[in-house]
Amino acid sequence: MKTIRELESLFNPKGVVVIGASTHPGKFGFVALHNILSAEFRGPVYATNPQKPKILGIQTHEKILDIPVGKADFAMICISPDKIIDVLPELAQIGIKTAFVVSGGFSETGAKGQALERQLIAKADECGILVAGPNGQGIVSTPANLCSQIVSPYPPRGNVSIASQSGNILSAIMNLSRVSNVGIARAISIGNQGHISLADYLDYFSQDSETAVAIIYVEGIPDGRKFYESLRTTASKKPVIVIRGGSTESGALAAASHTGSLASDHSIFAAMVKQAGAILVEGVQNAFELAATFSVQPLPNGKNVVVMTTAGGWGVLTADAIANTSLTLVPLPDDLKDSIDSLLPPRWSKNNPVDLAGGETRDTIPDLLSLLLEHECVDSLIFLGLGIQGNVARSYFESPYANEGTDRMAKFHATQEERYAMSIITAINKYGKPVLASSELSIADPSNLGPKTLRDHGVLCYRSPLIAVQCLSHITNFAAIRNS
Amino acid sequence: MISLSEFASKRLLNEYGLPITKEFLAKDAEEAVKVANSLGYPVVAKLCGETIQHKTELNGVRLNLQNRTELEVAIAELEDISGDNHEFLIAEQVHGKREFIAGYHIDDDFGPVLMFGLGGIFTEVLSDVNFRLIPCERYDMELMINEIKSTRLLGSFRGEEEVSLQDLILALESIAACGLGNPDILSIDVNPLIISKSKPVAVDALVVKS
Repeated sequence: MKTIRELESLFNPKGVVVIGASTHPGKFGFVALHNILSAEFRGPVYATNPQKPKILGIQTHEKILDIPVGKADFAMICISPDKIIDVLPELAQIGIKTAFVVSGGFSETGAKGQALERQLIAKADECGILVAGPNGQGIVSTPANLCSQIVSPYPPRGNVSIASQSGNILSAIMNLSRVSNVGIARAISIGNQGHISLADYLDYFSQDSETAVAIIYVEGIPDGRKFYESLRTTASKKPVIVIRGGSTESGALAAASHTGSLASDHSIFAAMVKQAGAILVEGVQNAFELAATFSVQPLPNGKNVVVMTTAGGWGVLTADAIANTSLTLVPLPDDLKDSIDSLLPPRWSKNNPVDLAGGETRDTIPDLLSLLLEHECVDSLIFLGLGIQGNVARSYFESPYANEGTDRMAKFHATQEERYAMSIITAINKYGKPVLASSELSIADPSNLGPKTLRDHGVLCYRSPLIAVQCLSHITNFAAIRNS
Repeated sequence: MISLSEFASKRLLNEYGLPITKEFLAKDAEEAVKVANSLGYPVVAKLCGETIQHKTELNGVRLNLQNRTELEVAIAELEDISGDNHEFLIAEQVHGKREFIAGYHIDDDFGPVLMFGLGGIFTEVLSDVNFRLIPCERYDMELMINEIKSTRLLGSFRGEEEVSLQDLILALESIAACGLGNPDILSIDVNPLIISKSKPVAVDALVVKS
């Protein structure tokens, strides 16, 4: 097992060398250097190229040994697979501790590649270098301003960390991070796991103070028990969200026994994840939204949720969705009903969901939010209707009939949306209870000041209340297990 | 792979504490009657042997035999089915409406795994089963039991008592101990595990060794 110390220079290098830097913008050796520089890596950056060209303002070196010793401890390797073994001893001489091998042509290609990968690992061990990959897209580590990868965009900084067996799934999650402004800490495309396994990355995440929640994408697992142990240890410290891709036929035993035939590969895997205390989620988007919830929301103290809505139908659907989870749509106690009566006209729903029935005035929503969250019977809150006033504002702003009156109203509505969103953010921090806001306008009109204000503060505005219910249910279960 | 006979499988599991039906082997009708007299009617007669794994498909099971005549008829029928190679398992008739399945196998990826779920003839159709990697905590066994879809069967059901969770966990632990204690065991099936009053009894079992 690799220790956190051994992996440290992978995620927090003091300096970086790109081996095989290229002048051609279509080549990995250019892209990697470009991404490292454009993300403004905080330490020195070196690069090698046999012709010694200047690339992106960096004077490349012909030989690795021309690079000053001890300045860089991480190498991004973008040369052909058969040449990598030869460069490892020189990398060790200049002080490289970890390397990411982008190049493919190893165990993923068959017997010959497997042999080459074994040689690579043996040489790396001999040189005291830990090799990530091979056959991966790279690594991102926002606390170090490190974007050492050959594909996807650089995400905002945050506390979600990802280890993925697929580079494209990793890119997808980082794209979701960029569009939602829920940030990433570490993200690694683990490639063939030749030297460093998924279990090792989990161990790192479990001890990493920058990581609050982890997402892993898993296809095959070389050592199932070791993986389980690492998953269990990590999940006892922080939430781990698991996406599973693919499945294999169960063994020959299947035909001989009931147990074998019932034990499909996936059902064992699903049970294993549960036993480890991690959360198995279907699909990348669901996984990201759940991670975003853990990332931003406090853990609830109990199952009692209140739904606050300015949108009747959505309230009904949300109540139905809650009924299918272990959450409780808490009945409102009389004292709370009395307090709400003082804020709303008599036509409000008098029950949970608290449907405002259009009875809100300027300060109603922030005041009601506080009132509900202050009450001891409420552990969490789902807010529906964010963006509705902003939508009215938009129709006035875009109107061919716009005049001073509609402009004034539109500005009021837009400002109200901003206030609502800010009151949600303030309430999360003030009461230490989860507040999940949902609005399809987060997708339909990203400029709407309700969803936009949440986004600007790194708080996810859920695309559907049903997703919000799922996420709340997961974090509530996680909190309950943790407290038991 | 070697499959132990039903009789040998249950004996082995019983050594680890799994409650099993009271039962004996008989070579012919005369021995079967002696056994039945000692057990008391009604009894069950089954074909038994290492080569006989799918008794139900062979029509090799006769349930709820009320008296000597019924038993003798049953044995005669089973002799016809089995040909020369026969032995008969004579067991007490266990009464209980709820049938579960429990099992053990060595998974390719994760090693020893315990299974629990809905048993009986619809086991494969409904596939309501759950798993835990073992060894595991008692708490994990409890979750494994309570996470199946048919959990309502564990409570009071159609005039039958609530299932004793304690006894069910002990039964599962004994299957786990048997598997883990014998590295040559590839899989164990206990199906059905019938709830009689509140306690589980293994009515049929199959142990497969390497």
